[in-house]
Order: sequence, then C-alpha cells, then structure tokens
Amino acid sequence: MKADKIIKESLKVLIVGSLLSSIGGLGLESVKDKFAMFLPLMIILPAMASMIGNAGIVLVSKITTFLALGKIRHDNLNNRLVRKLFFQLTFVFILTAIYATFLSIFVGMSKGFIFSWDFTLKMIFVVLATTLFIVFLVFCVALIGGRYAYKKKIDPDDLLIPITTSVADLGSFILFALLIFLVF
Amino acid sequence: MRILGKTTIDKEFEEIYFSEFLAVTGGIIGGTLLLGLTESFNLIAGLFILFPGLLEMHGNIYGSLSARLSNLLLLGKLKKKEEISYFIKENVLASFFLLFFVSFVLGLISYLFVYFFLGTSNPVLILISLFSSILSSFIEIPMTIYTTFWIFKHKLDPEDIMGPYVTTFGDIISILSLVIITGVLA
Repeated sequence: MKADKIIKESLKVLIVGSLLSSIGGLGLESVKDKFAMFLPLMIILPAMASMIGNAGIVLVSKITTFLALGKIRHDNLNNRLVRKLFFQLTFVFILTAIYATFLSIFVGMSKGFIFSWDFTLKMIFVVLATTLFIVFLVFCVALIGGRYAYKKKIDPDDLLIPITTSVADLGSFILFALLIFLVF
Repeated sequence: MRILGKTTIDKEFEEIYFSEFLAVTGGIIGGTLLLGLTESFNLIAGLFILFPGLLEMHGNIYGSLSARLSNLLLLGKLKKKEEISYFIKENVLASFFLLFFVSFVLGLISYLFVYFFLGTSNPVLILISLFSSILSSFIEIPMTIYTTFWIFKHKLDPEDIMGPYVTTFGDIISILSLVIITGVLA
C-alpha cells in the first residue's frame, strides 16, 4: 500500500482518536490529586492504557484476518470463532487486571506507599470494573466497525484500530477517573 | 481447561495470555518511570490530558503498521525482496508523517483544553507532544518492523503478539521520551 493511501485512510481517524483520548485525559486531570496521593493508581495507568490498546489491536487483527480468509462472514459476525475470542479475551484480561493491581501496589510500596487491604480491595474493584468495560466496549466497536469497513472496502487495520482504541480510551479513562473519584 | 462449557486453553490463548502478561509488566515498568513526572504533573497543567492521547497515538500508528505487515505475511503476499523494501519505504514514510502531524494536533488539542477548561495558557504542551513523539519514533519504527518479521520467521502468529508488544514497548519508550523532553522543556 502506498504512503499517501495509508495517510489518507489514517489521518482523520487518528485526529478524532486524539480528540477522544484527550477528553478521557481530561477525566484523569480532574483526579490528579488522587494519583499523587495513591501511587499504585499512577503506576497502573500505562498498564491500563496498554490493555485498552492490546484488546483493540488483537481483536481487530483477528477479525480482519477471519474476514479476509472467509472464516467469518461480514453479515454474520455472531459465530463460534467470535464468541470464543470474546471469552478468551475476557478471561485473559481478568487475570492480567488482578496481576497488574498487585504488581503496581508492590512497586508502589517500594516507593513508600503504605499497604492496606482496604485500598487493595478498592483498587481491584476499580481496575476489574474498568477492564470488563474495556473488553465489552472494544468488542462492540470492533464488530460494528469491522462490518462497516468491510462493506466500504476500507482497510480495517487503518480505520478500526484507532477508532476502537480511542473509543475505549475515552470510555475507560472516564470510567476509571469516575470510579477513583467515587471510591477513594 | 473449560470455561462456560468451551475449551479455551489452546495455542492462541497461550500466545495472547503470555504477550498480555508481558505487556502489563511492561506497563507497570512504564508506570514506575511515570512516577518521575509526579512533580511535573503538578507543575504543568494538562500533562494528564496529553498523556493518554500520546500513548494511544503511538499504539495506533505502530499497531496499524504491524497489523498491515502481519496481514501481508500471513496471507503470503510479502515474499520477494522488492516487495518487502517497497512495503518498508512506504510505511516508514507514512508512519513518520502521521506521527509528526498528529502529535502536533494532539498537543494543540491539549493546549486548547487546558486554556478553555483550566484557564491556563500552556504552549509547552505542544512542544512536549511533538518532540517526545519524534524522539521515540527513531527507536519504535525500526523495532516494530524488525520484530514483526522476527516473530513470523519463528513460526509464531504476529497478530497475537505484536499488539501487546507494540503497546508495551511503545509505552515504555514513549514515557521515557516524555520524561526526557518534559525534563528539558519544563
């Protein structure tokens, strides 16, 4: 694919993505005092962003290849392969969310944060709720967008990955910030 | 292992789980580096607004790059040397342009948000966005292309591994660039 075609297909969606992510960032900015107070919340932030990106990239890549190889049809995305992918991703993300929470608390303790079960349980709740929301949101956007991209003959890798991760960023960071505001 | 009546632990699951596990570990390393910006987050209003967009943009540009490459490799459409060098030339050009332009727009959006919502004029956000993206691209673009080829040559599925790899590696490099550039400009 030529550079100008890649730029043409990607530019608008990346700008919209930046706008959406910045709105999510506005949510984080509003609770930045809590991040300074509870270090593990700051430490886990890139891991949360990473999970959002990963969910989007893995899912969109898979759906794109399934469509290209004819394993799923664009007018019937609710099939065994898609359902399997959903359960796999949900399970993987629950495990990694719990792991990330404990690891960030551990790192936080090495930087002077004082451990408490009260904080740990609250953080697990916030991270798990946000993670499950990420998986659900990413799946909805990727499936709807996948069908649209396939119909319009647009390369889904250029369109869907930025859209999926941006919408997930917006929703997840706002939810994350809101839960931090309410719980801590 | 069966979950909700489905056999779910297979090669694909292992690949996704392993790469996700590494990705989250990398994210925590990034988070530890981010602690270096704790004071700057208080000093420079709007860094938190810029931060998710910056990570997101890197993930999107390099994620799309590796996804395009993975698709072509898996579909067997990238075999000859000329095809590979054409792909690399066009994609490096596109990725660099997108990174430069979108990081400027991202900085501008953050600046405007800070100006209108927080009532502070902070143009340094535009420079931080631009220079930290350029600095990180010198490492991230070549590493993304090289790693996708390496994973494919070793008979692993780049689609399962490259997403988490790009976001993790990208996050660490991006945060490091952000810390360096913020330190220089703040």
